[in-house]
Amino acid sequence: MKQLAVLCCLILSGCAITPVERTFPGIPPALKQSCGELVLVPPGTTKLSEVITVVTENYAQYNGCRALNDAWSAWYAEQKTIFEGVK
Amino acid sequence: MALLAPTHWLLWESNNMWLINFLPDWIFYLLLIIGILGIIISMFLKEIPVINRYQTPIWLLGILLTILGVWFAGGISKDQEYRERISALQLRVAEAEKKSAEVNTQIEYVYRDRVQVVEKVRYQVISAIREHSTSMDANCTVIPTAVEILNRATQPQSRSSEKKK
Repeated sequence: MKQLAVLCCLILSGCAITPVERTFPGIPPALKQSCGELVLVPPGTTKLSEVITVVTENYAQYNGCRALNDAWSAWYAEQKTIFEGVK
Repeated sequence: MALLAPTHWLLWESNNMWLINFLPDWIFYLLLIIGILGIIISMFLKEIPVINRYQTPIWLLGILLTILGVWFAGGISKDQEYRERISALQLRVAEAEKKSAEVNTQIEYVYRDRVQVVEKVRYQVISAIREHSTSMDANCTVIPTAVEILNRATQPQSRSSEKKK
């Protein structure tokens, strides 16, 4: 009985094999970068303009990073749909 | 039930079907025909007195060749079916890869466009700050403690790890 079970498994595994290679989809080169470091306000500064310039830089950093994150999410969703479409 | 059919033994990984791949298909069909002919001839051999002693070996050989022929014919048929399925799958994979590359181009374009907008806004805001910096700095002085507190917010990881220690 055990031998028969093993035999059935082997037959099933044999039938499940499809010699078609599928490569993992590559990502756009622009998405390979990581989010940059936040900018620090120079210590000892008393000028408001310098402080809000740094804050603006950090906002821009965040928005860039958000765009990157959204692009990754879109990439995953699209590639998943394409991958699951091939059966 | 279909999985237990003898033909599946031959389909045990299409790469290992060496006999079907090695020999031309017609040999197996020829085996089948010879087998069937052997069975039919063995039926008539009973009537012929001199050679009727060969009736049983020819009948057995016919049966054996028929079984082998059917077995391999089934294998060839399944092999062909699998080859067609593989070709269709390869085609779908190629289409998917093409579509995947198109999607990548589109996503990259959207991303670069958004980054350009971010940079444009950044440039505009910084220009506006520079334009109004004199009045801003004259009306408001930032104390060093405020700067120190603000800078702390940029490193949440190091602060939390310090707390843990």
